[in-house]
Amino acid sequence: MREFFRRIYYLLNRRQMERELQNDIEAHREMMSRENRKDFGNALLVRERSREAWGWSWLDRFLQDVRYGSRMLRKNPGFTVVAMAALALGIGANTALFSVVYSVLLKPLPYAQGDKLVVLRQEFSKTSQNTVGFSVKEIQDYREQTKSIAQLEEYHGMGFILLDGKEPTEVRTAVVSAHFFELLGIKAYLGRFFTEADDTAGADAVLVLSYDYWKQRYGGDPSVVGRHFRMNDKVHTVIGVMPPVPQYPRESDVYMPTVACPFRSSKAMIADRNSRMMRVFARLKPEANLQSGMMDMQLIASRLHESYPANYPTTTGFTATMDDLQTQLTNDVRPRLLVLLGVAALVLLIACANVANLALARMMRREQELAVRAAVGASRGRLVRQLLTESMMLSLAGGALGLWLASGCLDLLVTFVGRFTTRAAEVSISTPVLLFTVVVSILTGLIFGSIPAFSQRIDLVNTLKEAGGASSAKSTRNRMRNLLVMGQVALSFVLLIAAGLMIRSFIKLQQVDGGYNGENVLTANVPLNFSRYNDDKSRKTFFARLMQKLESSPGIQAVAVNSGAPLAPGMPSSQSFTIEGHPITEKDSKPETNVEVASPGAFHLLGVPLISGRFFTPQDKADTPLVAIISRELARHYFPNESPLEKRITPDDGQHWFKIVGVVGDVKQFGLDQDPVDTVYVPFDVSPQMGTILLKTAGDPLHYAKQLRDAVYSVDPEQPITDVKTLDQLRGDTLAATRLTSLLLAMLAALALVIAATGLSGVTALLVSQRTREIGIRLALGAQRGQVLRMVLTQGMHVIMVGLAVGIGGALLFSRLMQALLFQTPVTDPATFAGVALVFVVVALIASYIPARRVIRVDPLIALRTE
Amino acid sequence: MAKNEMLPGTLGMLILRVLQPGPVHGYAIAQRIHQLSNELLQVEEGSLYPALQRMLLKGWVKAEWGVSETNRKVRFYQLTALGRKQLQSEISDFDRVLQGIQAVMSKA
Repeated sequence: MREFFRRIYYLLNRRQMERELQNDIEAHREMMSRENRKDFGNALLVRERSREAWGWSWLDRFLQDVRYGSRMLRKNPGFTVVAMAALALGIGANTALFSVVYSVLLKPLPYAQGDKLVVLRQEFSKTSQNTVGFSVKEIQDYREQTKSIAQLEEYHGMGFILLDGKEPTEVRTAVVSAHFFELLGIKAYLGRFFTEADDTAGADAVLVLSYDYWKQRYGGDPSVVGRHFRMNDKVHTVIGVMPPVPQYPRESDVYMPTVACPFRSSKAMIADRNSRMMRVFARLKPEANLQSGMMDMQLIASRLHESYPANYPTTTGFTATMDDLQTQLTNDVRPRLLVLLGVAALVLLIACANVANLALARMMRREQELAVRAAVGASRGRLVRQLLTESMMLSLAGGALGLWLASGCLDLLVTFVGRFTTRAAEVSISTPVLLFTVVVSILTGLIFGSIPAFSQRIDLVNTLKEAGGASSAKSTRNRMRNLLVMGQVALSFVLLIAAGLMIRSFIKLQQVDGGYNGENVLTANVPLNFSRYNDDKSRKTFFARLMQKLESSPGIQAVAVNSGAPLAPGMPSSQSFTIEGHPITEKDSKPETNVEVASPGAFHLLGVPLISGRFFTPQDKADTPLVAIISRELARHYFPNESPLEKRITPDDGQHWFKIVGVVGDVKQFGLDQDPVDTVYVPFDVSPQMGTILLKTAGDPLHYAKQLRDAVYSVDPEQPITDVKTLDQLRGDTLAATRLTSLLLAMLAALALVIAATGLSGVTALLVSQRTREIGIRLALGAQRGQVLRMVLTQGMHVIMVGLAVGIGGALLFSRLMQALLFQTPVTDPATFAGVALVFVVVALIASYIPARRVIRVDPLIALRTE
Repeated sequence: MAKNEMLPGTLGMLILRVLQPGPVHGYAIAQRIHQLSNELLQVEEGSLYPALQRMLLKGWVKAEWGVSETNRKVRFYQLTALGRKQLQSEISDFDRVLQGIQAVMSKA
């Protein structure tokens, strides 16, 4: 131990120690010469060997290598710049994607013991409704019977109208049980969270604001705590603000306790075991894990099934389970991120191969230098270390540059990821990401550095004698270079295929016919204040007045009010029904359908074609005989051999019968990539629950947004209007995820192509310069320049073709991984493969033609003289 | 073996032994070994100074500035308590090895 500290002391006082040593040796010499004794020793060597005893020579040598390396890199700016750029792009892409993967998929949730948080799930696995919510009764049951759960809280999302003196707005409201925030283990940023007393019937209504909403709407004003807002008809007091943490299952603006929600606290809701509206989150006990939790859930579910057979019929396949929250939060984004990260890793490999190739080419020019250094006593290990130091310097510089690039394009990635998970806000370049970048840089340096470093087998005598002629070492190195280029070709081909498949899938998705004409249609939601408009009559009156207002506005050609707009975010509903004259056996479950509400003009406005029968008319009302229109898909399923017209269906076992009066074309209401959903349309007058306004306008629909808002406010100044968008915008939104994935993949693939193309250029250039003499002879003997050019190109294309063959094999293997991201595109899509191969060959030809042109300019005389 | 070369591994012991009576500077160490060995052994600078550096690091000797007989500022090396112990153990090791060698040489 003492010795170790002495060594450190020597390192820190190296200058002094060296002076003392030098003095000793000088004194020694002086005394020797006084006695007339001859001195044969090499003073410098003595000093060097004495210093070695201190144990710091490796550091000296390392610094020497660094100094020498930086001199070499400065001397070859071309090589340095190209290599550093390739590495920076490769490492940058990986750093950016890793920072997203780390923050979203790997980092623990920013809640206390996030790994113990779970989402409970009930399933009716034999019906079309795979996952259902929980009813109040069920929540009580699970809370009482569980053995694995320490804490269990409920949540449901609502839209309330918030009146705070500004424009009325609909706020995304999370209705939660009292200890929801404690479950997450978060502390109030301002004020306090709910208590048991707040969630007791009859308590004063209170609110907690989310951090983002507080910042946006109230500019982060702390005095907002204690203020009173009207929400629908109740006055609520703000008691706290949440800290900035990701919210689950969706971003909410405000939180309120369950007693404040009129639906959740209604007697009927509390009593009905089948009113499943809530989601349930839980924290596992310390000794429990996901496995034991799942068993626990299944046990409780089977007990429920036994106790209440009427609520959980055997035919439905009732069961319950749980997922861990982190997986649940990131389910949608994981496959995309992993494909992108895989692609980025390939780009880095290509960059590695490319730089290794450049370094190999440079080694040929440095052979002389290395031979001289070996001749004056440098060991092979020393030379390898020198070369590795150089490549490490390059890769670390590339890594630093890559880090800068990554931080620049992080915003793009965050927007991308934000479409799939609320964790996007957490993405940043953190310490683990920096560590990742450093490790990747060092590995990169080692990989591309060791290829040239270990391929140099110095044949001293020959190299020194030859002064640059052909040697056997060179031909192995040429083989190595060809191999590297082949690798680049193969890898970038795989990437191009991935991008090509994604783009093709995007184009196909874009061409999907939604079954409606969205041109010049503006839509908006008018979420009626359910406290003020609490019966069908008042709701009908509101919409009748609104439609009247709009119809008389200039430029508005048609108005309709539906339950939803095509491709607006949402899920199909699932209503079971019975067809008159189609008895159901006990075994089968009832047919189910999505139900949409449409006003008389809606089909015409949307351009949905009528297959048979008629559209709704203003005479189809709630108090006239009930009518319905069905989609073509539903007709195909349930009326395969007969006309559905005049047939009757009932949603409630015969209490209400709807006569089918028409069949309309299928509308892709819930996603272009999904099959058409069975749909029953009922007149708006029968079910005026939700109001989505559709306007057919004379020109750009967005010009009518203000007119629409004003019309709503003129009918009711306290009624908000949300999601004002054109149908084309809604369609664009559903394409955005695929578009962004394609864009990112295409960018990475283009990067790979450019890097590989420079690699090809380099190889051809070297080929030409090595064969200048031979070409000169050929030309002198009368060969045509075109012939010689073709010869050089053919040789280059050889390498490319082998690379392509390997690449096609690789692509067939790799593309299977992205099946989940593709739409109606087989992973072996021949058109994509052929197209990409063509692009590749063209680029490769251009890349090798540019340096090969030098052949044409070879002057036989000069060529023969060069040596 | 050339006449002025030494048995490997013994240089350290010789240096320590020469230092036993009191502080000596580098050149004098080499001289003393040369003289005491009846001019049989010659210590080169190239091995003397690295050996001294190693001993300094091990803490067997310490160096102090002094003035040589030629009136020059030079460092005098001096045994430490640790160095004395080291010398004893090296001498006894060496004795054992020597006895062993002699025993073999006399009987074989």
